[in-house]
Amino acid sequence: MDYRARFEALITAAADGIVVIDAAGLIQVYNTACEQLFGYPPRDVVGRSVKMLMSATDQEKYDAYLDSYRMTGQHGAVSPSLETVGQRKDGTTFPMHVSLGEGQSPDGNILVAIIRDITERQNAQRQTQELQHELLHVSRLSAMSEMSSALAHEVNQPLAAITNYLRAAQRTAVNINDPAIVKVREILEKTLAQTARAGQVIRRLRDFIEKGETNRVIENLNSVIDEAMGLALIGAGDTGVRPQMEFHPRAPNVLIDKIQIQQVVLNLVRNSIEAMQETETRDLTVRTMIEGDFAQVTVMDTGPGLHPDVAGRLFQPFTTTKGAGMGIGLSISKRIIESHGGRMWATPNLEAGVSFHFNIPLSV
Amino acid sequence: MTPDGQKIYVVDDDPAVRDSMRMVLESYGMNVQDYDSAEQFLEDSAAQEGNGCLVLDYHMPRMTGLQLLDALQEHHITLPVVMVTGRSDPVLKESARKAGAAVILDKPVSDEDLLQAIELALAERESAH
Repeated sequence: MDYRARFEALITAAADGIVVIDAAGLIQVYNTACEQLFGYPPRDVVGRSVKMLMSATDQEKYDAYLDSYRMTGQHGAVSPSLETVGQRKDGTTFPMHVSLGEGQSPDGNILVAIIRDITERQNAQRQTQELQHELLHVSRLSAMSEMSSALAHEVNQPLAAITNYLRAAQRTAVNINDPAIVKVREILEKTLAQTARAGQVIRRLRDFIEKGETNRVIENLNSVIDEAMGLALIGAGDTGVRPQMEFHPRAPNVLIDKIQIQQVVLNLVRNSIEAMQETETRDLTVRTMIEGDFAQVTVMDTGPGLHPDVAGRLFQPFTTTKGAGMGIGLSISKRIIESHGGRMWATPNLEAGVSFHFNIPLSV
Repeated sequence: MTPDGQKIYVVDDDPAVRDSMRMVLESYGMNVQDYDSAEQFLEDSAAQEGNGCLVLDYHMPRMTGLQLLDALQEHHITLPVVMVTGRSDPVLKESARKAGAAVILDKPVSDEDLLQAIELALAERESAH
C-alpha cells in the first residue's frame, strides 16, 4: 500500500469524525464517522465550506476569523482543542469536542479536525452535577440546623439566668412601697416580658429545627445505597480504594427521605476513603442487612481505626480529626438517622479499621 | 418555704444559671446548696442521705444528669429529683422517668413551675414513705 492508501484506510476506519479543510475553508476530507455525526453523505460536503457543519453562532465567529485573516494575512492562534456545537443536516445541533492540527500539503496549508460527539458525556455530567447540588444544598441545610440548634442551647442558658435573676430581684423588692422601688418593679416586669419574648423566638426556632421538612417515600434501600455509592466514589479512582457492595437479596423497603439517607451514606463513605489514605490496605465494604424489624447498613473500612480521644464524642458536633471541615458530618448523620426512627453507632473491626452502622425501621 | 431541715440541691454546670436559680429559690425562703457538676454532687454523701430535693440539669459535659440518676439508683439513693432539660425530647424524658426523676421540665423554666415541681417531688417522696 502506498502512503496515500494507508492514510485513507486509517481515516475511514477512525471512530472519530475527521474533517480536513484547505486554506479557503473548503472541505477536502470527510470520513465515514462524519456521516454518522452530521448526517450528510460525502458528496454533499466535499468541496464546500466547512461552515455548513457549524452552528449559527460558530458560523459568525468563523466569518470574523476569515475576515481578519484576509485583512492581516495572519492566522490567529488556533487552539488545539475546543468544545463547541455542531449542526447536522436536519438542522439539529449537538455538543462536540474538536481537536485541531495544522499541516502542509502540496496544495497549501490544511487544517485537520478530529470530532467527537459528547452529548452523553455532557448529560452524565449534568446529572451528576444536579445530584451533587441537591446533596450540597441538603448538607448546607443540615449544617445550618445543627448550628442553630447549638446556638439555641447556648442562648437559652443566659436567657434562663436572666429570667431567674429578674424574678429574684422582683421578689426581693416586693412589698416595698418607696416610689422609686415601685418604678423599678415596673421596669423589671417589662424586662421579664421581653426576656420571655426572646425565649419564644428560641423555642420556635428549636421547634422548627426539630420538626424540619422532609419528604418521605417508600424506597428500596439497596438502590438508594447503590446510587449514593456511585456519587461517593466519583474521584475515588485515584485514591486506591477497592469498594465492595454486599446487598441483602431481599431488597429492604424503608420509608425515608432518600436525599437525606444518601447524604449519610456519602458522608460515611467519604470519611472512610479519607481515613484509608494513611493505610496500605484500602478495602471499603458497604453492606445491607435485615435485623429483626430493621434494615441495617454497615460501612466498613480498613483505615487506622478510631483514635481513643475521639471515640467517646464521635457523634458530637465540632469533633474532627481532619484538617478541614467543621466536624459536624457525623452529628448531622446521627440526627438524620434518629429522625427516621433508627440508630447510628460505630464498632472497631477485628482486623483493622472501623465500621459505622445505622438502622432504619422496615416499612410494612 | 422549705419545710424544716429540707434542702434544695441544685446541680448545673452553667455558673449563671446555677447562681440565678439559687437566688430565685432563696427568694422563696428555700435553703439551697449548689454543685457545678454531677461528680461534685456524688462526692457529697451527706447531701445524698439528706432530706431534700435534687434539681438537676440534664445537659452537662462529662457526666450528664441522666448518668447521675443512674449512679444514684445504683447506690439505692432515693432523693426526689426534678430534672431540667434543654430539649423537649420524649425519648430522653422516658429514660429520665425510668431513672427516677419525679418531674421533668423543659427550659426555660418559670419559677412557678420550678416551685410546683419541687413540691410535687417532695410530696411523692412523702407518700412513698
